[in-house]
Amino acid sequence: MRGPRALWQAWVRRSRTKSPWIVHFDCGGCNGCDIEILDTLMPRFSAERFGVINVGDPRQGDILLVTGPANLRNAAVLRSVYDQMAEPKAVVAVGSCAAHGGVFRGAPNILGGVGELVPVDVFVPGCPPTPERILEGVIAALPLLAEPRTARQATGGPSPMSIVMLEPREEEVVRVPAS
Amino acid sequence: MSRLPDCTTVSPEGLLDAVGALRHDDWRLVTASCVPHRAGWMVLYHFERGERLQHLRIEVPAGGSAPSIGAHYGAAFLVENEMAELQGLPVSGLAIDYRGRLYRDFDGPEGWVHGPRGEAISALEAAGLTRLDACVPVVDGREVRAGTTRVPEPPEPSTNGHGAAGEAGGRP
Amino acid sequence: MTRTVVPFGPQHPVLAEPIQLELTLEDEVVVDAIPGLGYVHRGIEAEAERRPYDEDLPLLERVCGICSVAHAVAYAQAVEVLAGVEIPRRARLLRTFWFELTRVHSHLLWLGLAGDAIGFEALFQSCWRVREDVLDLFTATAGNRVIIGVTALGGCRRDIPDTLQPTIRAGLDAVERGLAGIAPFVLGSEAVARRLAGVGVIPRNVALDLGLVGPTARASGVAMDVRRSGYAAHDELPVEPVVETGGDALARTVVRWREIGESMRLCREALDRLHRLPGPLATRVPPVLHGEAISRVEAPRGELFYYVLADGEPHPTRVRVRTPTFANLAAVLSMLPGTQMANVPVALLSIDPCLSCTER
Ligand code: SF4
Repeated sequence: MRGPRALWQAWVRRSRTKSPWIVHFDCGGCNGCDIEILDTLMPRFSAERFGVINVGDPRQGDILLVTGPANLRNAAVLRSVYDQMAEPKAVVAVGSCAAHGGVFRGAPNILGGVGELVPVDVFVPGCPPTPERILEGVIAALPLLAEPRTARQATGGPSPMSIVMLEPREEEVVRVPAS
Repeated sequence: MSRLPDCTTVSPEGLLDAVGALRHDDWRLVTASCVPHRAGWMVLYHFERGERLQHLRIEVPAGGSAPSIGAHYGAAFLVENEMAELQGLPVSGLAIDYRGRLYRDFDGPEGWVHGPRGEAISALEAAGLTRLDACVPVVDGREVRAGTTRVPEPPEPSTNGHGAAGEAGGRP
Repeated sequence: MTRTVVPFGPQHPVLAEPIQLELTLEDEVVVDAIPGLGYVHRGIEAEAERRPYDEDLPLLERVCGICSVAHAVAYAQAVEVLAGVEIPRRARLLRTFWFELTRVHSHLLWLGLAGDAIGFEALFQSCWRVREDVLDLFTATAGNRVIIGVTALGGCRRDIPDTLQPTIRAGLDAVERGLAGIAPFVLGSEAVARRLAGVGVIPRNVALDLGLVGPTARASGVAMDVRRSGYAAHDELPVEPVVETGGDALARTVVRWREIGESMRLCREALDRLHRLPGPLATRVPPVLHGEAISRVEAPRGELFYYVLADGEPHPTRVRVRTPTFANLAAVLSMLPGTQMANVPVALLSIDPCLSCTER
């Protein structure tokens, strides 16, 4: 089926994946990931050249960047920030502790990972990940923005469970010297 | 074996006088440290003046309480609330009392599970629910679920992370 | 005159971290402020009591990602007092080098955020650009950008070989050139001076009463600096506290700015002394300890205090962490009443709050 309507829809889908605005929420991490997220937007890495803007208002955001292991008090806030964002939206969990609690796993007040609270699309590993990896995570989430989540699920497109897990690069693997 | 130098042990009743004397001599309250100790508590108050440190120690038996030193050091209310919440030491006469909800209770919009974490978790576990279900908001009487978002938990000792503070078990 | 209670936070753009302030306003003026904490509380103190001494180090480094070296050094010092060991001179100089570099990066980070809060985007971006050069030095010496994990119980885990010294000196030169480039926008700028002068004033007697620490206290004329107690290598590299008397947000900016220069000097002197200095990197610390010890360091935000109690088990019985912002939070509560609502973000930011430290 071709025609003006299909063309229009294709154009909308393509445009949605450009210039993502990000909303950053700290779910109780150590700040390490948060300052690296800010660093991603600063002159050296300059994600802003791709049209990435950090906004404070969840209603304007496309990609939610979450850091930290989540505790019971901020779980509610995270969920409400997520719910306020308009579809299509994607969630990128930045750092080890957003993935599974990281170094804090087992500490008395944490839930261990934000995947239990919001549907995470991309996990960026590292404690903290470098700005390059955060940028890579945001870029990995871009194709998901073409369709709202419900449409993605209905058409069998990328679903929330087809999680993108970035593999560590060769130079990021820390080798402990023998002896 | 190292012990703190310049550490005086006082009784809980004599604490306020001793603290008042230090305040009068311009000692700065660094902080207080509370340690659960022999079914009760041991509390250390640390003071500093001109790079010198001095400590006051009190022992509070189980069922007792520590007096608030807020009258002498107004900024002490934070650390006293923290002791009350995290170590369970009752502090009497707090100026600003968070009633054990400085850090650990969790609040949210209508429909979220309220109450201190320990109660919430044990109630949930009694009902056979996992932690994901703890955070399902209810809108218009309908649960809004996060969909198929559950990330499979890596196998862990069963008590880890689920219990209230202190009962989550030691490391193997 | 109407009274309104406005919740400020927890998610808001001035700070990256969630804190809630319940502000009672009379028209536009704040009359009362009550903090709501707990959004970043993880229970690290309790968790530290379950892990062995050496495994606590990476955990406590992650109390705060900005001043992680300060936490590691403070904890390691307390354990060293418990064990009764002296650490080698080389390790003390290395600790001072990384510690002071942390201060430079933390102060630049804060200055950038302050620029953002007052709407001075160019300052924000330039500070963070210079900060990248500092992070390059961390990468060159420790292999990571933010949490560097160089401290070990009884010494240091990493060394700075003499062959690396020219690279580091070139890096320090680059940072200094960058600092010289932004200096006119900090101290010489009327925009900064006008926006910050008179905001969030804390007189000297109030600072003493509340027991404030760090740059916040020094900006109010209190000459305190834990580095004078001579921890790490500060017995051979003495420091004079940088004191200002204004007590407002501008004075705090000036104090932090001058401390950056001071820290750069200390880094260079530590490097000089490290050159051709033989010696081991660490002393052995036994895994089982007895007794109790305290340790204090001057973190970028002020005095950081650790109390460690050991009962002859492989893990500590109690680890108490009093972070600088925990002490300085009282300052926010005392300076907010009387402030215009529009100045609340700047006043809050001027003490450089770190909530992941405060709540642990
Ligand atoms: S992943 Fe590591 S650096 Fe990031 S917030 Fe967690 S502890 Fe901090």
